[in-house]
Amino acid sequence: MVDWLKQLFHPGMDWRECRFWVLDMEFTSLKPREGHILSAGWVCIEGGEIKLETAKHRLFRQGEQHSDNVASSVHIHQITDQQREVGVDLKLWLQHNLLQYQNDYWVFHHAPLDLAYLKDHCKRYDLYWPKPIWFDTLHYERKKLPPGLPGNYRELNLNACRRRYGLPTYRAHHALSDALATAELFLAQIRRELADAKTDRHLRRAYR
Amino acid sequence: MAENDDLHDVVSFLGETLPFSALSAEGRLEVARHLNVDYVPRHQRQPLDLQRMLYIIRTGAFELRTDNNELIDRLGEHDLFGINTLMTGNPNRLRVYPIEDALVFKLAEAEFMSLCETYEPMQQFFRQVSSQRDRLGKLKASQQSPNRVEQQLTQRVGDFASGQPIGCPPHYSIRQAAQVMREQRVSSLLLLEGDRLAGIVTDRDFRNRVVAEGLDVEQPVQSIATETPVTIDAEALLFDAQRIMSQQQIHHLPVLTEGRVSGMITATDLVRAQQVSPLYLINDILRQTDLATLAHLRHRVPVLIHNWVQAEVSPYEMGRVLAAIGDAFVQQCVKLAQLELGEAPIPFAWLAFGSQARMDQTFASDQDNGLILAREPTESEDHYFQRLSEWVCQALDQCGYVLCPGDIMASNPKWRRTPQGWIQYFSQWLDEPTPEALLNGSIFLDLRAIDGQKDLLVPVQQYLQKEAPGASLFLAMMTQTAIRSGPPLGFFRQFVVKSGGEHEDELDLKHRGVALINDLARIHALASGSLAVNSIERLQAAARAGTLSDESMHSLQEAWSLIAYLRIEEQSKAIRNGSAPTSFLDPDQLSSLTRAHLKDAFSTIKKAQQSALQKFAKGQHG
Repeated sequence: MVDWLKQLFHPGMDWRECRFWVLDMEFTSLKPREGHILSAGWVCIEGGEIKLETAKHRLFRQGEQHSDNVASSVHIHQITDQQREVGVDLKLWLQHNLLQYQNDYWVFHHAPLDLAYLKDHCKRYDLYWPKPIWFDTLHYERKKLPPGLPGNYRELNLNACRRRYGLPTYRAHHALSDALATAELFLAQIRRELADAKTDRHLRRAYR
Repeated sequence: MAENDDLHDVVSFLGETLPFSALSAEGRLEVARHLNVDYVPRHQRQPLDLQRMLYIIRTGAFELRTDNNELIDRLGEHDLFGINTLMTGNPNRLRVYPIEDALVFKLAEAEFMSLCETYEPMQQFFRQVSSQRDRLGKLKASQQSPNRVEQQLTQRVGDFASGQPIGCPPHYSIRQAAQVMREQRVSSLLLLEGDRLAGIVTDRDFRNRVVAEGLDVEQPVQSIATETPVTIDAEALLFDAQRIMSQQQIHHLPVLTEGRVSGMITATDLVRAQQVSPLYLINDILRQTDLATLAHLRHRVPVLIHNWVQAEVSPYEMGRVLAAIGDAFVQQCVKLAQLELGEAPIPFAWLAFGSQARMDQTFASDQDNGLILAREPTESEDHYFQRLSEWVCQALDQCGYVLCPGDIMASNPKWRRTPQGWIQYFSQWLDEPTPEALLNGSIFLDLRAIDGQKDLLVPVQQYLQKEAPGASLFLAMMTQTAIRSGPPLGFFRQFVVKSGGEHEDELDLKHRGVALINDLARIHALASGSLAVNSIERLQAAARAGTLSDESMHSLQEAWSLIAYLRIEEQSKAIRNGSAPTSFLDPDQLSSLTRAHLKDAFSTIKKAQQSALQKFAKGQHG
């Protein structure tokens, strides 16, 4: 059977048996075409729990081709010159990780920006784009807002969303803290509000 | 690169959580990397499916309950559970309920075990906690209540002995031995060959065998030691230690654990243990023949309370013992007064009202008392009781029970009555519930005879038992008065605190807490014809009589206990800081868990007030 047919008739699997790759990145700009990826933090959810042993954080070496507008953002993200120099190569990182997690579900808080950056950099480096299936914790929260109320940014930032689930506040502007925070928020959403969602298909419907 | 995957948020949390706070930063990071994170939504009726792993509460709250659903502990941020299941397979079948949405860290068994092996502080900590919880679970499961107030002399010697035994080899000279004792500031020294006990020397030996005999101090210390000293096993009770010391006329006992020296217990240790026993205090009170020394004993009460607060003795139990102490002060004052003024001309009993009668006195209690006389006194007899009462009330004031600002004291002739006279008062109040009658009712209906011919009170009690349940107008009015003041509950927002005045931003735990429950308990007890005076006992009596549901009874008792405990804890703290004890609490000081429990307690009170209004004041509004 072809892949999409399999998908169509697949009854879904217990979401606890799925692996979720929760990723957060820090950028120099909100526009993927102009900006660069400064750092990435990620952690996996497996067996329905966040595995801290999978938690990783990487700073990316900022090549001379885009050192121009890094400075201002560097300040925000507390990344020093020294750290920039010891960072890893972004292309290698993308190559390795996109491949490693291509069969997992990806999770972001505000997916469009991160996905655009990833896709754009794949194109820049001429890398394979795996077309992942992803969940967006921010999108889920936005859907719950009463209609007619404008989607106010303050109500949807990561900390504001987490507070609604009684989750603690973590250090700001650090990709690993944000990835862990997103993973916890994702679990909280599922465990508290989607108790009946047993399979990945249920989850995909709830996050659509 | 270390800062790459530092898990900063988790590691810094572990840094504030026992026992991980005792590990190095690297140790904490290693623990952190072995954790899994789970989110547990609140579910009060369904216990967690406990796996063999350690649970660390990051946020949220859980309740630990026994098999028969009895509450053992409430756990919040930084607390751990699952330890028993891990260490002993949870033989007491404790259950864990998530009472708030919670984020937990889980450490699987294999990782837990190997980390315990690497990190000694973890190992030690979990052994201890496991045996504590195990004990607690067993106690609760067998429905025994630990007799904690009188625990001192039934404690194990091992728990009370000084930790490291201080000793020297037997071949040391007398001078060297004396130097060790001076450095270590001890009054006795063990002679140790390895960990075998070869003798003991004490200050007394130096005095009697060295100085008095003019002995050469360069001789081996062994020559003046007692070579086969009396010892005691670490498992023995303090009581045994005391018995041996007094029989053998010695002041030092080496403590043995499995035949090896593990410490030392001294007469001073025992005295210290006894000084905190309320029974000794009561005995001391009843032995004093002079008011100044009697009054001085009041300074020992705060120490007792502090110890109880530390030991988390329930406020009910504390109240009973404090009442026994208060009663002893009264009894001794009455005795001293009669020594000075002569025996009373007619039989009488000393009555206590209010908190002393209810047995929920705390530090800041004032005296409310009266007399019940066997018959109408003649003028000269009345004069005698006037002087007696004044003497006793002033004496109690010196003992720390301040004079009643409302003059509800035996020194006021209004409150010295025959049984018939007291019945008259009560029937007046029950029949015509004016505001003043209601106020009097709330004070005088909590009454207890504490000295003298106590059975004089029986006819009064019989009267109340018979008449109060039918006094529906009185009960209705009393209920309305009682609920005029509500608990300070601003729904899930913040506490409404008293506005204006000195304690503006603080919580009044007395008037908007325990007193509200006391009022409800009184009404329920009166309506059910119970003679109980203590609020906890009144609630139980009302539940037995069926005027109160078991569920409300239990939740009101829990609420009372929580608020009373916080109050006494706060007062104890104040006293230790040298400030005056009050019933006010700054809500900002509370942990979020205590806040949550307080909120529960207050909403319990609110509900109970509502249903009392329904029950007793239906159709009597206005």
